[in-house]
Amino acid sequence: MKIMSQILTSVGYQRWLRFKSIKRAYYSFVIILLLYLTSFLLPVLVNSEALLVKYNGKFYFPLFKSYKAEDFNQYVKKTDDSISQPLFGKANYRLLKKQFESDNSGNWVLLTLVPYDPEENLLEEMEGIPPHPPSLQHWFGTDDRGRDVFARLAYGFKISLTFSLLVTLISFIMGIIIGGVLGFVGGKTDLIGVRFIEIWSTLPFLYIIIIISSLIGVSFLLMIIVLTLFSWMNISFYIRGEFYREKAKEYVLAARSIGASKSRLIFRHILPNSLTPIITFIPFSIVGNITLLVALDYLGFGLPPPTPSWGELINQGMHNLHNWWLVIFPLLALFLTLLLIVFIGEGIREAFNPKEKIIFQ
Amino acid sequence: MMSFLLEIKNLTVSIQNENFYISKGSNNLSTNVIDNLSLDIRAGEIYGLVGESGSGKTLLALSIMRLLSEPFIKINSGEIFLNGTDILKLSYENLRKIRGNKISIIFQEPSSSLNPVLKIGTQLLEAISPDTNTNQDKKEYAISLLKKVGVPDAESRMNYYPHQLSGGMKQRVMIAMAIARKPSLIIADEPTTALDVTIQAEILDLLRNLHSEQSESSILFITHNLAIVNQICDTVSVIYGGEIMETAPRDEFFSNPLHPYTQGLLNSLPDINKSKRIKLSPIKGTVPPLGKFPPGCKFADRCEKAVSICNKIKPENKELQKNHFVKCHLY
Amino acid sequence: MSSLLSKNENIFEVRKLNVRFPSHQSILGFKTKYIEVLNSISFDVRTNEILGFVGESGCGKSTVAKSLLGLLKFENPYVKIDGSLLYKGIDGVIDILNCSEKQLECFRKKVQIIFQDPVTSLNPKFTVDTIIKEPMIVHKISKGKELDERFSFLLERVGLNNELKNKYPHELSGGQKQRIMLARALATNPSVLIADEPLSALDVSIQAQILNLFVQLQKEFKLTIVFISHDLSVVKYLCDRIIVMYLGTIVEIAESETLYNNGLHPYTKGLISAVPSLVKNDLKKTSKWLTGEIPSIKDKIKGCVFYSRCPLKEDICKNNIPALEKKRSNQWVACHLV
Repeated sequence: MKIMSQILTSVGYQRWLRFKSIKRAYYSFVIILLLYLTSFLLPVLVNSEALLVKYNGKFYFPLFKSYKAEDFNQYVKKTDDSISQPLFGKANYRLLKKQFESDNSGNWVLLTLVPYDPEENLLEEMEGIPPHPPSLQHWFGTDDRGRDVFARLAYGFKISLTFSLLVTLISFIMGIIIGGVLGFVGGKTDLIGVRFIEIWSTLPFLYIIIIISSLIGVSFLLMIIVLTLFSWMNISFYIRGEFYREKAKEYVLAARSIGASKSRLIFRHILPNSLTPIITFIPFSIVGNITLLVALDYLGFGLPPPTPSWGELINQGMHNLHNWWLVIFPLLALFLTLLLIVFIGEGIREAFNPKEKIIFQ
Repeated sequence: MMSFLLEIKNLTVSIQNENFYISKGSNNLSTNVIDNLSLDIRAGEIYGLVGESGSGKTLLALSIMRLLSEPFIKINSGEIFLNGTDILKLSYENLRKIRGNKISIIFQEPSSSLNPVLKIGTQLLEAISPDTNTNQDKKEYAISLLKKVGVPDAESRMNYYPHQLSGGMKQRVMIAMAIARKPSLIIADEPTTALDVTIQAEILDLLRNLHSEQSESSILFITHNLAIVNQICDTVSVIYGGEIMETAPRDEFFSNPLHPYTQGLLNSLPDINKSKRIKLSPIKGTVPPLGKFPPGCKFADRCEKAVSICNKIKPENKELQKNHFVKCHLY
Repeated sequence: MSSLLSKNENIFEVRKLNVRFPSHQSILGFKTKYIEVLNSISFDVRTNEILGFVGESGCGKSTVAKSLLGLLKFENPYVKIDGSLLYKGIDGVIDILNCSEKQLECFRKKVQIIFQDPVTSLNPKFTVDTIIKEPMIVHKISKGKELDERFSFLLERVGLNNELKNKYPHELSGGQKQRIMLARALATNPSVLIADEPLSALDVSIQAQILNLFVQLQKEFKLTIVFISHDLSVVKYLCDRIIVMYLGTIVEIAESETLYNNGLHPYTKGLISAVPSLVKNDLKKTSKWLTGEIPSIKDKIKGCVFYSRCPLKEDICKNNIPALEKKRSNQWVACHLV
């Protein structure tokens, strides 16, 4: 109860209320949050594995255990008029579903909402040459390798957002630590430290990524590490400034006069007061990182294929401009995501600093 | 019957609630910071307006000049007559003609009222006339103004930037800017609060001298310091919660304060002429936050002499002795 | 060692305290120019007295406060301090300028400070509860239930309600914030309270309440108070002795009634006559007494610091610094012409 009453009157809660009152920002926040949380459920929603199979009276859960085609006596026909042949290897649940339906055997398959895997090419199942335009089965069509675009977009969303969240989080933590130390200690350490940061900032990050990507290839983890190493500098400058400013304030002097130790001053006094404005930076940093990843993927120096990434999709779109679904849907997805996050960012900024629209007279 | 230079009648100024983003359900979206206020300033007098922070005195100054930050703070009703003309009804163009010309204002913080990137001379010339052609006459007039307010070395100081001057000097420059076009009314909003005591004495002296030279113009001197008011004002008003509680000529005010708030203020101040550690009788409680004043007399919850009617009904403004007005149920 | 100090024993002895700040920082530390903020000042603080420091801007009174607490190096690591500053507490003498961390810890319990602006002196993220308990936690004075009891006791002593326990500073009025500062200062049961312009940011009607509180707390907690203010009326009302400062120098030390009635230094006289009074209507005569502006502390002044504004100045004043000398019992003045 004590904590509740503290929270209810704290400045943070008031800011949250103000944020909620800015409809555009609040709804964007809710949408993005829901979408991101849903993206963790993607294996249940967008997956080539079926949810549930009833075969010969028993239930099977392909999500948890992979089954072979022989387990279900799956047959395929190469073309419409050739004879069925048993399928070997991994079970193909879409075809299995059709097979059971035509069999009338009392077995059934429950597929996921979008029964495609983003990395799976469907050349064998579809007529015509990829990319295929949108249809009932493929809401957003397929890409030039016959992979379902919707599935790729959905998983790409999760990857983009997770990537940028991680990079933002880690680079902020690094920046806070380094900036905080420099700001608190000051003096010669600060002088030298800032010089190092300045030198580090001049490293041409794009070239380094290209070099690494070409020489040893990149993975998700490596990308995060490299990008973090190049994006913490801004935050460290900011926190350093905040530390200098807070350090000069009277309440810090008052705490020192009580006898507080230096670590107490840093962690209990200065740091909490310096961190507040950081929240306003986070959305814009996320936007920046998403864009960065998309750009790198577009250029081909990002995540390795066949990772479903938006940049790669957009790249395909650029080469297939007449196949409009490869251009419109990825761009639209990127645009909307960034737009919503920018709305959130603006909302946060307004919530922290309500500006008054003064009319001059 | 002396004519009044400035007559404020039933002025009400309201401010949007700070939480108006948040508390949708609340009924009062706005609160009155100045509540049905009336006061009259005669030509040629120094009128002292005394109030603490939150009493609305600075807002009153801004309202007279119509400098409020609309739409968050605005004048709801009332009239302000300057020599018979209602300034609140003037068009923007006509209002501009009055500002600086007939009414000018001196603010509290000279450091923030002067533009730090412009020279003093430039700003002074701007105050002399808002159009930008500078000619020799204007320049000479500017230098003479600086000399008049006691800035030494006036000619070279014209080229100084504000940060090169001390607080007292900056305030002198502000005063020069305020008197440049010989306005009928000078509003001085706490002009000496930010200054050291010896400099304050000099500035007060300067104001008094300037005033005696231009005897038709009046000064509205806004302050929280009753002692200053005792030194230079002719008439004194006390403002609390956006309402004038008492008005009287200076000597009458200090020798015979009638309103309990005035009496409370006078009793709670240590004075240099009083002896050491006489027990001060402070006014109990604190100034209530905006919107939380009692419904009747605004001072009711802090008043030693309050009776039950005080909490319910607003007292009327009564003239108890010649020119001595009080708003209190006790009378 | 722990004898009861008699009323007139000194609790602080300051001798030739000289504080200099660098006026600008040269990169490699050569040829740094210094500004003298405190110019070899000497004074005593007597036990159980209320000592007032008055002066206008630039006189160095805030620096005196911070140096008495040993906080100067924390604020600006490049400050240069010379002279001696001794604290003579019940547990022995501590040399503030040359003591160990441990001694400083002990000292911090005994000498507390209240700052001018209650808005910036309280951590905006701490509740009243945390603010007042912090000194007790830092010095490990009480724990658990005892902590809460002491908290309520302190809150009540400064005239506040226990309801405020979980409020944040931004929800409190100026007067309430100042009382919280007082409560925090009293938490470690100090012997000395240094108040740096505690009333300046408060409303007039609240000032009286806080002043009464000071008088009451001084009696109850047997405090020695060093009260710094630019408001001479308040200082004269509250303090036993007053030290008048001008541009980093002490110009006069006297008991408050003596200072007012018989101030000897020309600056003292000028200062007193410049203060507007509620009772008398006599400001007209003051402003002609002092001429000119207060010089900046950056100018190096030879001779008496008051020379440029003194109505009585003579040649000897221009080149020779007057020493603080005892002119009457309990009155010291630094002037050649008195």
